[in-house]
Amino acid sequence: MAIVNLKKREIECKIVYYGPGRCGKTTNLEYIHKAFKKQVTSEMVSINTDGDRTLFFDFLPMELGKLKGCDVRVHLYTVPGQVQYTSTRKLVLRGVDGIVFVADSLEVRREKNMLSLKDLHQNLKEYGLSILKIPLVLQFNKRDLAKEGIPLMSAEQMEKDLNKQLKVPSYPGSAITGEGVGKTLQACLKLTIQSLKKELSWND
Amino acid sequence: MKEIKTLIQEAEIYQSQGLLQDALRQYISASKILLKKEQSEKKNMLMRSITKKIHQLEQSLYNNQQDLKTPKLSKKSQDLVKNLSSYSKKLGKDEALLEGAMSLAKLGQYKSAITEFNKLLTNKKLCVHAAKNIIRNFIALSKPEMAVKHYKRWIEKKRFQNRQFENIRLFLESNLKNKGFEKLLSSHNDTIPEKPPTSNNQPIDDEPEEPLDIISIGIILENRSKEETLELDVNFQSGNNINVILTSNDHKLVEHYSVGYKIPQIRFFLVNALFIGQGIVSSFSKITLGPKIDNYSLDFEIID
Repeated sequence: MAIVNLKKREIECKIVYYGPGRCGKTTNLEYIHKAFKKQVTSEMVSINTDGDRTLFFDFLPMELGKLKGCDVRVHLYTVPGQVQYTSTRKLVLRGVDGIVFVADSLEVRREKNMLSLKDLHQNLKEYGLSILKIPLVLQFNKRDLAKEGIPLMSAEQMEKDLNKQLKVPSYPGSAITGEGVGKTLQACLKLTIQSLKKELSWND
Repeated sequence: MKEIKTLIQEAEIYQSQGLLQDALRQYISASKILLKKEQSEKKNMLMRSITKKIHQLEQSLYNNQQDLKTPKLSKKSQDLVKNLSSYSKKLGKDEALLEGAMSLAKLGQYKSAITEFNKLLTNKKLCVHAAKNIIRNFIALSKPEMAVKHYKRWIEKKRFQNRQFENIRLFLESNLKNKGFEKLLSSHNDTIPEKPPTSNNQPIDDEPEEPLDIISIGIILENRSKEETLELDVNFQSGNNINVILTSNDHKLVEHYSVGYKIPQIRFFLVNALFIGQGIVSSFSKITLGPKIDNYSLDFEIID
């Protein structure tokens, strides 16, 4: 849940990038770090291995301006995607306000996407949250690899696999080139702010 | 040859994406097809190249596994781990601090966890819990003498009420005994003072009820012809939530456990008693950081 400090007029919310291992969560944050310099308030913190796999999480703080006179701060986190890090993913999810689920478009990663979404559902459930209610956006990453001739899933296939029941906004993307990264984040922020306004009864 | 070329191209892209297993699979498929081809210099050259790639990938996969043994977390990272709990509205400031300290301890960052638990010693509700966790962390660091030293310091500073001191002393004694540090108990009177120098026997009206301190547990294994128990020391306890560490051999005995699994029969060993109950698994995962790396962490809630 977002932290609202009315005395200091600050709102702090947390967005988590979730998805299977090597789907591009960290690359999303790296692109945001480079492309949104004005909003990013400090260095990105990554706890990873020499092989560049996220060992614990990445962290990127941003400032988004004002909402009803309050400064809005957003903390972006990623989770480690590898299956064995269940407890770390759960810890990072604590108090989450919005989620970007990064799915890997590579055909060979189809099952991993579905398992990761199931893992997200389970972890949210353990915090008493519903995947159907939390602000959530999907990103179908690595679309740029289509030109390499590598087998990719079609957007329709991915919609069917991952978004049939959720029916949340989804965006094709390429975190490495930045395509769709901003759109995905903006959509998630929009949903998160809407949800926050509703929670605080700040509806326009 | 076209099929082999496609497989190699795919393998290269998977490798560039860090999908080493997928890349390895493609190279192996390519080598299998190549093996069926007629002998030629071209085939031999390609086979050598593929074999080299397979070897490199296997080495990278092995190295990645070794990379996981990177236990050091920077100060900034530790602060972030600590603050992960502060997002929950349901937790007060000190409760969030407690959760953060527990998270650090679970990651094997015992020294930082002790610093955090020390901050909670002034909190009336959480002070005993914090003190016990300081003791647990020192014992986990194999520094039982520091646990005793801290206890003595608390006495000097009259940090707790008598009843609380008694509670902490029993906990300290049981843990020292349980972890095989009996030597520290042998000179008991000199080492662990039983009573604080100034007696304060005033009843504490608003002292919260302390949870039972569970020193160790015995999980009674299911589907065995005769009763077999998996004995485990309690790593951390927060109310009814217990954390234990399992070796890979222990893990084999309960590898069917998953989140939500109901453990039907557990013996709970207290300081001076035993009770039998059940538990629900809340987390069960391999430890990839800190001194307990490659062991397994099992969290469960006592339900009965």
